[in-house]
Amino acid sequence: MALARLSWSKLVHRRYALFLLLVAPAFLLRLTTAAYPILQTILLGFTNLDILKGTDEFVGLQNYARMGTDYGVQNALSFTVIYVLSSTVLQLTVGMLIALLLNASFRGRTFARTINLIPWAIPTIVAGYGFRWLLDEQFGLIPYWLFELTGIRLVAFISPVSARVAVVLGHVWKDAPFMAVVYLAGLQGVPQELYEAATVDGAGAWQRFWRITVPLIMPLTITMGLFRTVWSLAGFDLIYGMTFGGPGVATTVLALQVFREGINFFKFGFASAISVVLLALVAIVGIFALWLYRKTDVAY
Amino acid sequence: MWTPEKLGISRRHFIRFAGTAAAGAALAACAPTATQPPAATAVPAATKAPTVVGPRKVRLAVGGWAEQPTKDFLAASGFTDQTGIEVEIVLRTDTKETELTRLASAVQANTSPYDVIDFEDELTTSFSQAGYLVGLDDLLPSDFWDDFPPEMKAYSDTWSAYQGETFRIVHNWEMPYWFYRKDWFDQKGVPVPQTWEEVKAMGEAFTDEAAGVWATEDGLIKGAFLNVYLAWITLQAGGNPFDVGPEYRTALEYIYDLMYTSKALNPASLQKDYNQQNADYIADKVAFMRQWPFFGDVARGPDNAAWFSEDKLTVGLPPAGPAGKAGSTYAAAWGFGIVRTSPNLAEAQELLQFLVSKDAAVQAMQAGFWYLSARKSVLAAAPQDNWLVQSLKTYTDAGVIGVRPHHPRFVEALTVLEDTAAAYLTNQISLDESLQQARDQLAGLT
Repeated sequence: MALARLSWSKLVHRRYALFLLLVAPAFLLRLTTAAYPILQTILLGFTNLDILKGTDEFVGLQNYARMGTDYGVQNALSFTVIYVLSSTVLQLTVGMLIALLLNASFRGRTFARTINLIPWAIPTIVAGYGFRWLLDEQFGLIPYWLFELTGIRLVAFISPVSARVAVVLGHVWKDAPFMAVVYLAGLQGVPQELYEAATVDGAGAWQRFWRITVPLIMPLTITMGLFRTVWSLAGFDLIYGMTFGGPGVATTVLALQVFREGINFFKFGFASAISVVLLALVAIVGIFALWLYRKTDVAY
Repeated sequence: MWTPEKLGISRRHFIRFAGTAAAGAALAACAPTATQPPAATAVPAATKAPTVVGPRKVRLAVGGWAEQPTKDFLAASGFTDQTGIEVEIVLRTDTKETELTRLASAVQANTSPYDVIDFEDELTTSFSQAGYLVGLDDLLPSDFWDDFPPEMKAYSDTWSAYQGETFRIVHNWEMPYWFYRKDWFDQKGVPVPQTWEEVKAMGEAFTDEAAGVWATEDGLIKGAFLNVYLAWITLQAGGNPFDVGPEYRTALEYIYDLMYTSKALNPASLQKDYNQQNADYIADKVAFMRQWPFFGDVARGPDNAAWFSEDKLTVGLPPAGPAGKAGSTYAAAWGFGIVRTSPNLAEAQELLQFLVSKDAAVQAMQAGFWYLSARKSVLAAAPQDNWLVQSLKTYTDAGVIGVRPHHPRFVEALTVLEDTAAAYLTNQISLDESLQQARDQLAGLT
C-alpha cells in the first residue's frame, strides 16, 4: 500500500501538515455549518419529531409518502416550479433590458443607475405588504389605474391565476434591478472593438445583440440564473407579505410550507422531509447549471 | 508549487488520507475526555455555597400595549410593599408564532424568559398540551369561579383547561361586535338585519359594485383571519367548524351565497386583513360588519375625528343563524399562566394569585381596558357610560355569546380550514372537495 509507505514525518516534511492546517478551519466551518445541518435535516426527515406532541420516532419514508397525498405540499411543489422558473426567466429578461438602457449614453445616467436599485434595496417583507395595499381593490393604485383606463375592477388575490401572476410580477419588480446591475457590469466587459468590427461588416443592432452581446454574457446569465433560482426556491417572504400563500394554497411555495410545518406547527420531522425535497430541487438545478456552464464556450 | 504527484502519492491516496485524518479529528472531538465528570454525579448539598438572601423577584411578560397599564396597576396595588416581591415587566413578542418558538426553545433548555405570561387562546392550547405550564387549580380559592358568568366559565373550561386542569386565568374577554351605519339604515328606512336571510337581503339594499360599496365586508385573508369568520358563522349555524359537519357545510354555503349570489359580502374580503377592512368602513364603503372591539378605538381615534360620529359606528346584536341567538358570536381571551420551567416558581404563584383576585382584577381594569372582561366584579365596577362596557354588557345580558370553537391542534386545524375553505370560496374546488379535504387533513392531525 502506497499510503502505508508514507510516514507522518515525510508528510510533514513535504508540507502536507501545513496544508491540512490551512484547510482545517474552512473544512471544520463547512462541516459544522453546512454538512451537519444538512445531515441532521435528512435524518429528521425520517422521524415524526413533533415538539408540541412530544413524538420523536423513526418512521422511515412515512413523511415522504405523506407528501404524495398532502394537498398543500402537492400544490406548493407545482407552484414552486412555476414561480421559480417564470420569475427567474422574467428577471433575467427584464434585468437585461434595463441593463441595455442603463448602458446607453444619456443625460442623468448615473442617477438612473442609482434609482434603479431602489426596489432591490427595499426589504422583501415590506415590499410584500406594500403590494398587498397597492393591489387593494378599494385603495390600491394599480386597480385604480386599471379601472380608469379599462373600466375593469381588479380584485387580484381572490383568483388563483391573478394571485399567482401578481406574486411573480412582484418578485420580478423586486429583483430585476439587481440583475440589471450585474448585467451592466457584464456589458461593460464586452470589448467595444467587436461591435465596431461587426458594424463595419454591416451587422445591424439586432444582429450585434444576438451575435455578440448574448453569447458573451451567456456565462453570466447561467451563473445569475442559477443564483436567482436557488434564492427563489429558498425565499417566501414576498409571498408571506402579499398573500400568505392564498387564496387557498394557490401561491404557497415549498419554503413557506416548511416554515408553516416547522415554525408554526413544530412538526420538525415532516418539515425536514419537505426541506430535503427542496434541497433535491436545488441540487438538480445546480447540476444542470454547471453542465450548461461547461457547455458554454466563450472565446474572442 | 507542490502537488500530490510530486510527493510520490496518488490523488486518491491523498484524499483517503486527508479524509481519515479529518474523520479521526472529528471523532476525537466528539469523544468524552477523561477530565469530564460523570453526567449523573450529583453535587452533595454540603458543598453548595451558602445562599445569599436577596430581594425576591418575578418576571411578568405582557404585550407592549399592556405594559403601561400593568405597571400603573401594580404600582397602585402595592403588591411589592405587601409581599416583598419585585415585579419586573418584560415584553413578550406580539405574534403567537414567535412566542411559541421562543418559549419552546427555553423550556427545552429548562429555563424561561419570564415566570408569568399574559397570553392568548392559541398559545394556551399549545402550551398546556406541551406541558409548558403549571396547573393553577390548587392556587384558586373555592369560590373563585362564582365571580364569573356561565359563558366565561364554559369558555375557560374549553380554552384555558387541558385534561381537567386549569392553566390560564382570563382577564381580557372580548368578542367580535356587530358595527353598523345607523345613518345609512335610517336614510334607507331598512331595519338592521337580525337573521341570515335579512343579511342576504342587504346586498340589494346597499351593495353598489361600481362604486365599490358593499353591504358588509370582513378581513378574511389567510393567517387566522379567515378562521375567525368561519368559526363565527359555523357557530351561528350551530356547530364547530373543526367537526366539518353539516353545520360547517351550511356555513360555507351561506358565505358563498353572501359573496356571489346575494352580493352582500365583498368577495375581496378574502384578500384583506383587519386594517384594510377598517379602512374600507371608514372610507364609507361598508354598511355593517363584524369586527373586534379595537375598531371602536381606531374609529374614535384622532386620525378619524373628522369622519366619526356615533351614528356611523353603532353596535347592534349580531344576526342569528339557524341555531338561534345563543351562539350568535363568541369571545376570545387573554389571561395569565405560569411557565413550568420558571426559576421563580413560588413568587410566580404568589403573583398570579394576586393578579386573579377580585380586588386586583377591578384595579387592573381601572388602569386600562386591556383588563376588561365580563367577570361580575369587573363589569360591575366598569364605567357604565363607555361604549365598550355597554356593548359587553348588552351582549352578555342578551345571551348571544357561545363558546369559541376549539380543536386540540388548533393552529394546524385552522390552517387546514382556511386552505380548504378559501379554495372553495375562490372557485378553485367544489364544496364537496373542500369538505372532504378538510376532513382528511383534520383526521391526520389527531
